[in-house]
Amino acid sequence: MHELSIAQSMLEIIDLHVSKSGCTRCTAVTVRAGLLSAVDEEALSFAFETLCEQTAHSGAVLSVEKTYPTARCGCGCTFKVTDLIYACPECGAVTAALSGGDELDVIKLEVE
Amino acid sequence: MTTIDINDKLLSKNDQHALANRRLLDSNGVWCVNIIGAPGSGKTTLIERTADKFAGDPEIGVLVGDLETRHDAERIAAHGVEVYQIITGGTCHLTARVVGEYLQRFDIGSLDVLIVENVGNLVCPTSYYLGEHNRMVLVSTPEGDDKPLKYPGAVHTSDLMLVTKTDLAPYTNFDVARAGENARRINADIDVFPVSCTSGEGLDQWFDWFGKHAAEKNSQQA
Repeated sequence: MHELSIAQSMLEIIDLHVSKSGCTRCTAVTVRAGLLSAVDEEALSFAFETLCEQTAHSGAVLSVEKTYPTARCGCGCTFKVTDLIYACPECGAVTAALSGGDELDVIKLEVE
Repeated sequence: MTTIDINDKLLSKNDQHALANRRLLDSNGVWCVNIIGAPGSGKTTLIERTADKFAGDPEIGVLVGDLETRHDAERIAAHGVEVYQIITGGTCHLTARVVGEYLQRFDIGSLDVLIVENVGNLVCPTSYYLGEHNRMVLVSTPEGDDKPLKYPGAVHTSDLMLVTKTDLAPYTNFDVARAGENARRINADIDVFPVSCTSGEGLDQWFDWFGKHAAEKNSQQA
C-alpha cells in the first residue's frame, strides 16, 4: 500500500502550489504512472480521495496517464510493452532491453 | 480556474533526501547497497553470512527495516557489525528521510559499506530511492520462478538478483534458468546468481560481487 504515502506526497505538492498561486483549492490533478512504477490506479485514487476529504481539496479529480516501456530487441525491432509477459513480434525473443515506463510524475494541477 | 504545469517527479522530496544521503556516503567513501525482497526471502541470513565472511574488512554497517520487532538487528549484531533497527510501525518501505536520520548514528568515517535491509516487500520499496549505489533483489525458490514477472519494478531497478534457498529447489518446481530469463525480460543487464546460505552453494560469486563493489568505492575515495 505505498499508494497511501504516494497520495500524501501528492497532497504536499498540491498544498505547496495552491498556496504559491494564491488560490484556495485544487480541483484536479494529473499524474503520469509507468507500467513499471508498480502503482495501482484504483488504490491511488482511493488513497487520494480519502486524504482529500479532510482538506480544502475535497472532491479533487485524479487522472492517471499510463505510460509503457519501449522494448528494443536484438533483431532491431522496437515495440511498446503493455504486458510484461511479452515476446518480440518479429523474432519471438523475450529478452529485449526495456526503456521508459517507470515514470511517476505530477504533470499538472487545476486550482481555483 | 487556473492550470499549473508541474512536470516533476511525484517523489521528488524523497529524492532530495536520497541525494543528501548519497553525498554523505560518497564524501566518506562508503558503498551502499539496498536489499529488497519478500518477507522470508533470506535477506537477514545473507547479511549474517556476509558479515562472517568479511569480518571487518571491509567494515560493514547495517540498517534493517521492519514493521515491528528488533529481532533482525539482534541477529545481525551477533555477527560483530554495527546495526540499527528501523521500526516503521506499519509503513511498508523505508524512505530516504528515515535512512538519513539513522545514518547520523554511525561513525560514518569508520565505515566502508552500508547495507540497507529494506522492509520485506517487493512492491513499495522499489519506488523509494534511498541514495544507494546499488540495489539488489532476493527471490527465494519457494516463491516461484515467475516472481520477476509479477514484481517487475523490483527487478527493473536492481543491478543484481539473488535466487536464494537453492537447496530447497528440488522440493519445488522452481527453475533457476527460467527465473533468470524472466528477470532479463524486465532488465536485460541484471546479474543473476543462485545461492544457498544453508549449503553455501554460489556464495563465493556473491562475495566476489560484494567485495568488488566495496573495493571500487573505496579506491575512488583514496
